[in-house]
Amino acid sequence: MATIKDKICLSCLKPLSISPIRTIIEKEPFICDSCLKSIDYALYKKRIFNVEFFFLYRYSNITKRWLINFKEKRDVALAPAFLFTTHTLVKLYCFNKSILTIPSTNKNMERRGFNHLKLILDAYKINSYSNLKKSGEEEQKNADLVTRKSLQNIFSDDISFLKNKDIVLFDDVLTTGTTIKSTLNYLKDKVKSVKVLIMMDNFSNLK
Amino acid sequence: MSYICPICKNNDEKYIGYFNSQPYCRLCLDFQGRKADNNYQVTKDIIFNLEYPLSEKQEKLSKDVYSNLKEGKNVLINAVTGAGKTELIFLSMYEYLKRGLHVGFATPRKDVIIDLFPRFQKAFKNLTIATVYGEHTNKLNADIILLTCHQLYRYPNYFDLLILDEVDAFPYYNNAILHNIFYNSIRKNFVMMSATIDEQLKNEIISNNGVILSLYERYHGGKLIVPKVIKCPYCFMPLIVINLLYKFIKSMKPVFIFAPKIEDGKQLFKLLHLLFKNGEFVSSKEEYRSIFIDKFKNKELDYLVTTSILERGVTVKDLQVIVYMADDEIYNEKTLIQIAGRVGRKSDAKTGEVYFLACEKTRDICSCINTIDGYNKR
Repeated sequence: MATIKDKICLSCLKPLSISPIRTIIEKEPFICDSCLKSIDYALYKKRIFNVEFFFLYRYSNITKRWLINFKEKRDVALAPAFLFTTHTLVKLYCFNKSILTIPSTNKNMERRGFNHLKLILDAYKINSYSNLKKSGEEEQKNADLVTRKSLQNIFSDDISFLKNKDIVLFDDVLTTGTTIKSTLNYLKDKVKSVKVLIMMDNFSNLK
Repeated sequence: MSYICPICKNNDEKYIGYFNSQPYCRLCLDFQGRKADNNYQVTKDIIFNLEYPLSEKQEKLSKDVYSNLKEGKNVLINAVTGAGKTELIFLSMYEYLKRGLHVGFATPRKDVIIDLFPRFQKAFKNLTIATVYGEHTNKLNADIILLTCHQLYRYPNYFDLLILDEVDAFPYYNNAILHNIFYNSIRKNFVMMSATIDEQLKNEIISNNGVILSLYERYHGGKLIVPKVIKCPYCFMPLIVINLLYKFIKSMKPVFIFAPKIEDGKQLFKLLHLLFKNGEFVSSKEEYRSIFIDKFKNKELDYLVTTSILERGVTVKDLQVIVYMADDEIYNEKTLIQIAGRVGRKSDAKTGEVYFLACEKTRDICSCINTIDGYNKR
């Protein structure tokens, strides 16, 4: 084990301690071996809502803590941590496809001050679109029942450029799947095909 | 100019992140949230009432603490377990509150806050007291604030008098962030207290314009209980615990059984529970531990198997203590002194028994016994 002088682990903030092989392979390592070991990988596909879902991690241990610190405590420095070991896999999975990030409500976006999904993908120069929008409670309150149902919570500026494209929807955690379900309904007939890439699976925990 | 964290004073670039080009401290992520109102007006008409009179030595030390504070000095109180440290600072608190100043009482452990709250309520009957810990943070302002060290970040430059009890306890001790947050919340003076101070604390208080005041006698005048060591192999230890527990339960005496780790405690409790149904296991992971502790105090439970979470600040009448695997590395001299200090704390129950069950008599066990012996001889 080698400890790199004056460098700390991005995740645990302790001195960066990594195996000698990593010092050779990685140009600029930033997560220690111990943190990497505690990642709980999922790496499985499932069919949910009649669509293929691909999960990277389970919603537990270190990745869960990262997400809380990143989203709730606004520790944006953590952005590169999420796809540190899986960015190549993500690039392969999304090869020749367009990535659409699942939207948050305006209220949540304002509170957070950044688009967390875009930031995670940007850390590895993975292109994505954030055209989808999600109406918050206030917006829904003002709509009548029929409009609300037709809105299904999700809307967008203009996604006509995605017509005839294969789409990968990208989200951080799948818990109940309500937002994803609404998004899938909204995208029906608007795009060629849809797959879903989820960073953390909390859906299986609830089942 | 480099960025200095307003909460923990960190200026090391390694721990600084940037959000929209604005720096933020990555060490303080857990210390974000609502802050107390610095303009809170304290009730000046105080009804101060001590449940029992202070002993002569307590009275003297209590006055010494205040006279030092009045001179602008800070104080480190080094008083043995059961000396009545909390009551020692009531006079100073009263004097500060009378002048409409902000007073806080902090400790590293939330269990201590829960345990002390009724004592503060009895002493300062007409004042409002806020207890601030964990998720319990609705009310931040009151005449007196009882809080854990982790909540001090809500009170920047707030306290005219801040008392820090159990200053050498985990997680405060040797934690640079909590240490900085503590100093950041003080506007005027502070008092630190412990039964197990060391050179590091002595140096800290001296470098902070402070004095050390000591009290080597329990408030009721009784001696500190010297632990008895039972040497035996680990495989026989549970049998000895069963034997001792049977003896204590038969004589209707409540018992704490300390186990070094959560797993050890769980296993031991599983075994004991087969024979003695009326007990519980508590640890930092146990969500409902305060309910079990209350039940234990109300004599609804005969015994509690616990980790070192209950080593400090908890007072139970007539308590007896067994330390299971006392030679485990987790038990240093300080911890063992604190654990032994749980026994004989009440004036109507000055005696009791402390048993250390160990495979071998470690250096920490020996120095714990020698230190307690030394205090008793002073």
